[in-house]
Amino acid sequence: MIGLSEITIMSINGVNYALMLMLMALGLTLIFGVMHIVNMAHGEFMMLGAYGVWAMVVRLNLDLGLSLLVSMLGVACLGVIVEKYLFRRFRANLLPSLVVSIGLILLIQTFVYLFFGLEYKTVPRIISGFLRIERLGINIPLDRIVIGVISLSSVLGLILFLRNTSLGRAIRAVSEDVEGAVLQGINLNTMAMLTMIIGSALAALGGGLLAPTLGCDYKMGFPILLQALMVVVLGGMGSVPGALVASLGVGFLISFGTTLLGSTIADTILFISVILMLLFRPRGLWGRMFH
Amino acid sequence: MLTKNVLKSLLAAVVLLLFTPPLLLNNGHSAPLSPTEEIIIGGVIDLSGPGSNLAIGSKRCMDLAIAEINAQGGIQVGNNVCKIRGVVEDDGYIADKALAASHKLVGQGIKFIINFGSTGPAVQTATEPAKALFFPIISIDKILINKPYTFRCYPTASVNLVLIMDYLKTSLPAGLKIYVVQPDDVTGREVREVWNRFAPAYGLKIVGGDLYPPNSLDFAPLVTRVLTYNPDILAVRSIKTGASVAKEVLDQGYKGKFIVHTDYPSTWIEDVGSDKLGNGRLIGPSPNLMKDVPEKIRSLSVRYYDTHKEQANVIYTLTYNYVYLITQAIVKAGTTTDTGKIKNILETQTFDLPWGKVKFGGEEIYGRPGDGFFPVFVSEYRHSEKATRLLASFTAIEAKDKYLRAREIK
Repeated sequence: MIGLSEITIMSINGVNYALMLMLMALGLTLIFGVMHIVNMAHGEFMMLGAYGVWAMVVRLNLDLGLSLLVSMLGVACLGVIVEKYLFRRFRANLLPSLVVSIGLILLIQTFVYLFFGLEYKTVPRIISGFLRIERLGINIPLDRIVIGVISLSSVLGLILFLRNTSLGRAIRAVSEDVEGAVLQGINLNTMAMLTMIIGSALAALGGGLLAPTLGCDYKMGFPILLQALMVVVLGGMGSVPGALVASLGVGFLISFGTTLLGSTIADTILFISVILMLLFRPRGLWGRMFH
Repeated sequence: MLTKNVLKSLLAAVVLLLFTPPLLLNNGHSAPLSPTEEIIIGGVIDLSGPGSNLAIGSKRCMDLAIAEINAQGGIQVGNNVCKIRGVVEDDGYIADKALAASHKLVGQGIKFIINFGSTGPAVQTATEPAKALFFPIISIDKILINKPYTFRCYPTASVNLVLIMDYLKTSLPAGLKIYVVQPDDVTGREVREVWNRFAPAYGLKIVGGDLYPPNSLDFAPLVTRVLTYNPDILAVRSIKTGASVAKEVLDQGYKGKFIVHTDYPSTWIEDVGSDKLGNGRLIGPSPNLMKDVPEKIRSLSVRYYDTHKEQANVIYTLTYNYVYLITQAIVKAGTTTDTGKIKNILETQTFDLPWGKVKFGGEEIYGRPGDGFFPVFVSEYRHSEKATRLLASFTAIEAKDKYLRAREIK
């Protein structure tokens, strides 16, 4: 019997899931929007973020907040190197950049399993305790609330940055019209590097926040990337508003679908939605046609 | 320009090299390992992926068995003294990788392959045609049907669960509601089938079941669904994702028990939280390896702990058992290469293994060929002692008899 309590829990789960997807999908869509490449190694950046947090929290006994920041910084630096020495040469060349980013997946995974080993790692919870609302029969772990707040703050921060700062406007200009932006004096290389920094840092943040829930496994990146790609396809490649709306849609679909119908059917509905979108509106909800 | 082109070409070559799928390198045409007085035991084991928490321990026990046998001078086969060597490939819990790994091992002339995880059927597609002897650690019955070179000595889900259900019937109130939550893999589907098939005969009510993608990111929606059915018992898996489900469901206020069909590692308990599990909420087939088991396994557990600073569990010891099975079969057959002869020995002889005596019976004895029954334990985890407490135990023969009787119940 589904009552108010279950609907509330499903909604909360949906928002949580959506926020997690947003962190991944926003970075991916921004990178595509500016550089016109699909970074298949985005999931591995997330994985590196998770391992970074594990190493600092468990091995060095650092505070989680500091570990997240350092992890984000580290992965952002990697993003800079990857953009400058790999992706820049293949900008707007979809197929070569795809091959390069897939090669990057193997490189990063090999590095991680050689350096950290094969066993999966456990990260302690961010905070213990629950928020209990007896009237609704709800029991929400506090760490989920913290993860949700951090994710939401990051997403809002990114939106404000893109809307209200000159650098953010420059990134949007490049993603809307590269030639026009360059003619206005915007340095494409700088924007690409900045986008890569933001995208990588967001991925690392997502990984670090997921680490207490999922643990760390060197193969954890790809399943998350797959979901993020579906969000980006649904929302429109290169579209930030599209990624936001699609994340919410997917989050609620997975939450309500899984609870009411089971995981298999919920996933099937998601895949069918992606296929239908590609068939009837290939540019996604908000995207543009790319030539 | 020339320099840029050269750099581009080099980069492309490096990327292609990295991107070359494993199959291209493992097409079975690799040079066989040079024949020596050395017996190679291959392993296709998921050292990475969702089952790695159990698989890594299994590999370690395989290595321990090999080291022990070699420390005793190896084994005498005819007039030769042979040392043992292990070669393990990681399949990451993925069937494609398991297939590639098994082709590689078989292509190298390896005649004995142990597999851990749900990728057994994939490995068999390489071992059976090559007449390599295959020793899986997997519950499903079909792994043995029409597979003459496959032998299994393993506490299967079906036998374990039947005996756990038998315990529940005699020790807990009737009409308990069970919800089965398993990853969507061959073992998960088998476990769900076993519950659906046998539970009614033991007065248990299956109120629902779910198969989730093994790489699920968030279990909260699934758990919300599970709790709407208000189960008394949740049947979960003793792998990483099973721990995630258990942790999530406890967070959402679940008050009932958990049942796992295979032994669980200490990392599983840590993941879920020993304090949250409390006393008696987790029931499974896990004996205390320091006291409830044969002496050789107790001794292995001590050595495992001394070496790896981690408690061993039953699952880990299965590869150890298999190594001794393989070497005993080779010695009895008097050959290291004639797998047909070794197969006949496996089918007809009794083996004195670390876990006790095993005879691989035929269809008429065990209900399926190539199966050697295993002792079964029913125990509960106790947080106050940070250990399991034995509730019931059955020898291999007792387990077999109870299971075969259960199968006859309509």
